[in-house]
Amino acid sequence: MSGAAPAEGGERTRYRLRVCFSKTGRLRYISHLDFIRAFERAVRRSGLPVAYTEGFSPAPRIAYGWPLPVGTAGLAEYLDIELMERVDPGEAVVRLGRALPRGLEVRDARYVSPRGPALMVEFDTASYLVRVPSGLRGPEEWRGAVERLLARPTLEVTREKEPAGSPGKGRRARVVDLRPLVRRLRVRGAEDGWVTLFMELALSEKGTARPEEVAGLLREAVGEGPAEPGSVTAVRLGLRREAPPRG
Amino acid sequence: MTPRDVFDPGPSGLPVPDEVLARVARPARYLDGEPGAVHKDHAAVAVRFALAYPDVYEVGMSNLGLRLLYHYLNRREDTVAERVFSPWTDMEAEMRRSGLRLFALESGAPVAAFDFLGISLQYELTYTNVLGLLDLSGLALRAADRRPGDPLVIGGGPCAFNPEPLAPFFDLFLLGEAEEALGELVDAYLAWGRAAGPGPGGRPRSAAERFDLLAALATRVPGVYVPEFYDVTYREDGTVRAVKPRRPGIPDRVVKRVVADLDACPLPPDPVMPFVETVHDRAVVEVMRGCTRGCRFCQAGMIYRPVRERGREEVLETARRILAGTGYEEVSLTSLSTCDWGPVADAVRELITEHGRKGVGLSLSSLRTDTFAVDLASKIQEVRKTGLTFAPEAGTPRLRAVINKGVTGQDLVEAAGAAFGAGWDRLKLYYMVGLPTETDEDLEGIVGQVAEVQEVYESRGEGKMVARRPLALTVSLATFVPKAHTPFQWEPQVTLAEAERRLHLVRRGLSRGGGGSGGRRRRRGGIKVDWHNPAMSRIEAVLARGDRRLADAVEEAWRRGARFDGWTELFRPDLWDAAFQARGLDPAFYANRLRPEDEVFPWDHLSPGVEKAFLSRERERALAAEPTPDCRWAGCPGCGVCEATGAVTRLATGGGCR
Repeated sequence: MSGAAPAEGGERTRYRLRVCFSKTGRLRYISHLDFIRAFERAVRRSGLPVAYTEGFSPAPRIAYGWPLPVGTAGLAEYLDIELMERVDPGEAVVRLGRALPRGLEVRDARYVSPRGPALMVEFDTASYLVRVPSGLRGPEEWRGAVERLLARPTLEVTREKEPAGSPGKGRRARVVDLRPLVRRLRVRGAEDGWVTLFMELALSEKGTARPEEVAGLLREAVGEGPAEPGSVTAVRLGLRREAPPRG
Repeated sequence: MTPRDVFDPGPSGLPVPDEVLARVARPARYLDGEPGAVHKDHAAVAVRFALAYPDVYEVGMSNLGLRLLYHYLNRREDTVAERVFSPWTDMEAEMRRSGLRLFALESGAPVAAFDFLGISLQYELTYTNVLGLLDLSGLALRAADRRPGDPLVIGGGPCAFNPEPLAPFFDLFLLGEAEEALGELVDAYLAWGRAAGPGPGGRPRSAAERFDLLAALATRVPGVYVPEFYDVTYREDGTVRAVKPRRPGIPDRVVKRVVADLDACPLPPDPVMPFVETVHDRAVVEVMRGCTRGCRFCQAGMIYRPVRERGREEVLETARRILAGTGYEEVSLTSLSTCDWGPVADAVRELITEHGRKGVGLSLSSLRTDTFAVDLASKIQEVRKTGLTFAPEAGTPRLRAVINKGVTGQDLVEAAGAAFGAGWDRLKLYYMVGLPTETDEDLEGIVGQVAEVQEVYESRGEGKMVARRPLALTVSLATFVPKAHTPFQWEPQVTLAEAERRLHLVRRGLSRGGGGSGGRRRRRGGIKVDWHNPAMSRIEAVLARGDRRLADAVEEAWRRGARFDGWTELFRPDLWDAAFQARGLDPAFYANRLRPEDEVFPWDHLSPGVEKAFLSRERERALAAEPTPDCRWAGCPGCGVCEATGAVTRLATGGGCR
C-alpha cells in the first residue's frame, strides 16, 4: 500500500511509514539497543513530525523488527515510524538520510496500513550470505556436506549462556534443534580459502538460528574442526514472509 | 553487489581486525564514526595530540573535561586531537596475543605516532590503567626510559594536584583548567621546534633535545609541572624534607591555571555523540565551575575555586544547539552544585517550556538537600521522571558542622516531605563513614535520620487518601578518603577493619528498622544499603596522599595484574598488598597516619591557589565544629585562590567577590 493510510489512533490521525534501511561498515558492530538510540536521535534531528509515546519518558513511536546480532551487517532491514502528519516518502528518505550517521542508510520508505501486522509477524524468514573458512575442502565437498546436512532429521547445537557481568561463572548449556529453522542452504561460491554460503533461516518467537551455528555444523559435516572464533562473517541480505498470511 | 563487496568493511578500514571485533564484548568501544567525531589528515597538521582516558569508552566519554579539550584542540587548524581509551580486559588479551598496538579511535594511528599523549587523571584507582595505556602503546613506562621522539606524556585533572605516585611515568603535568593552557603548550612546542632545529612540529632528535623541550615548556607555560626537574629529599622518619627545583628558571611552586571568564570559553555545540551507551548518556551543559560551600572533605570544592558562573543566555543557547545537533532526549545542567547557579530556577522553567513538549527531559547534577531543590526537581519530572538523591553525608548536626556540610536535620526532613508530597516514592541518601572525630553516636545518627525520613513518608498526606506504596529507600555508604589540598589532609583514614566495623554498625542499624521510631512498628518498605568497598577506599587513600616512592608499588601492582581497580568485580586488593610488600612500602604510613601540623607534604610545591595556612585554619575550625560560610554570601575567609590565580568569583547575575 503506497497511498496515505491514516490510522484511527484515538482522536488523532496517524501515519505508519515503513522504512527500509541498511546497517553496514563499522556500524554493524553496534548493538541493537545502541542502534535504537542512534536511530531515535536521528529521527529527532531530522525534524520529521514523529508521534511520541505518553508517560514518564516519552519516546518516538518507532516499531523495530528482528534485531541484527552484533557484527552482522544488514542490507535491507525494516522499521515502522508513526508520524503525526503525512510527509512525502521521498522527502522522508532524504531527511532521515541527512540525519543518520554513515553506516546507516535509508533505502526506501512507504506508507503501510496502521492496522497491518507487526514487523515481527510480517517477516518470518531471513536470508544470509555467510563467509566461512573453507579449510582444505573444495566446493564439491562443501556441496556434498550441505546435502548430507539437509538430509538429517535433526541438527542439534549446544548453546552456552553466560550470565552477564560474571564471565565464566554458572554457564548453562542447552541443546537446540536447528533443523526446523533451516529453510534453505546452498554453496554460493568458493575462493581463496573461503566458502560463501547462502542460507534462509526461520525467524520465530520460539527461537532463531544463528548463521554461525549453521556454518559450524557444516564445517563439522565437511570434516573440518570448529572455525576459529570470529572467523565466520554473516550479512543479512533481507527479510521476507514464507508462510501464507494468517487468518 | 558481489559477495566480496558485501563483506568489505568499508573504505576507511578498521584499526582492529574483524575477527577480533567479533570476539570481544561491545566492539563499538574500539571504533569511531560517531556523529561529531573529528577527522583530519595527519600529514596536514603540525601537532598530533592523543587524548586518553584510563578507563573504558563508556566511562571516558562521560568525562566533560576530555570532551572540552577535544573540541578546543581540534578548533586549531594546525592540530588534530583524537581519543584513546583503555581496552577492556578481553581486548587487552587480544591485543597482546596479536601484537596490536594501542591506537587512536579516529585515525587508527598508533598512539606512539602522536606528539603528545594527554591522560586524564580523575581517580586514583585508574593508575594501573595509566600504565596499561603506556605499555600497550609500546612506550616505556618511565619517562627517563623513553626515546627522544616518543610522545610527551602529560597528566591533567584533579589527581594532578598530587601526581607524585605517578611522577616517574609522566613527562609533565598540567595543573588546573587546560582550555587555554593546552593551546599555549602547543604554541610553545611549535616555537621550540622553530628555534631549536627540528622545525615547527618536529620531534626532539636526542635526549638532550627532549630535555631542552621540557625545560622550554616548564619555563614558558604557567601551570606546567615537570617532575624530573624537582629533587625530593626525605627525613629519617620517611616524611618529605623538601621538594626543590633542580635547575634555575624552574618555579619553586607551580600554581594551577584558571579560566577567568567561562563565557569566553564557550561549550562545544556539536559534541561527539556515542553509539555505545555511556555512563552519562545525554547532552551536558556546564553552568558553573567551582564551589565555595567549603565542605571540608571535598577536594573538588578546594581545587576548582573560585566560583565562575556561565550566563543564562549562553546556557540556554548551548542547550538549544546541542539538542538540535544531536537529538539527545535529555539535557543535564552540570556543576559541583547546580542549585547554587544564580539563574537556575528561571533557566529550568525556560528549558522545560522550550524543549519539554518534544519529550526532552532535564536533569540537574548534585542536588542540594532543601525544598528549593525539590521544587526544581518537581518541575523537571513533569516531563521525564527522575530519581532523587540527597547527600547529608553525616548523621548528626555536630559532625555536619565538623565537615561544614550546611544541611540541618530539619532541611532533610523538609526536603523529603516536599519530595514525597510531589509524588516521589523512591529516594537515595548518601553518607560517609570514617569522617574525622566520628563516633558511634554519629553512625547511629545516620540510622535515626533514615528512620525519620521513613516517618515523614508514612505520615504524609495525613487525613487524605494516599496510595500505600512502600517507600523505596536506598542508603549509600562510602568510607571517607582524606585528600591532598583539603582541610583533612592531615587526618588519618580509619583502618580497613575499623571501616568495616562502622559500615556494619550502620547496616545492622538500618536492617533493624531504625532507632528513632519510638517503638511503633509499621510495615515499611525495605531499605537497600549500598556500600563502596572499603578495601578500594583504602588503596585510594594510600595513593591520594602518596609520594614518589609509591610509583614502584603502582608499577608492581600493574605487573602483577592489577587492572581497572575502580571496578568492584576486577579489584584485587591481594595484588596491591603483595606489591607494597615486595617494594617495602607501608600502606598505613600513607593512609592511616595522623600527620603533624608542620609536616612537609609531597604536594606542597603544587598549588591550587588555596593556601595551606587556610586549610590549617579550616581544620582547627572543623575540630571545634565551627562552620565557615560561603564567600558568595558572607565575608572572604581568605582561602587565597583569588590572589594566587588572578581569577575572582564571577556570578551570572553580575555579582562577585567583595
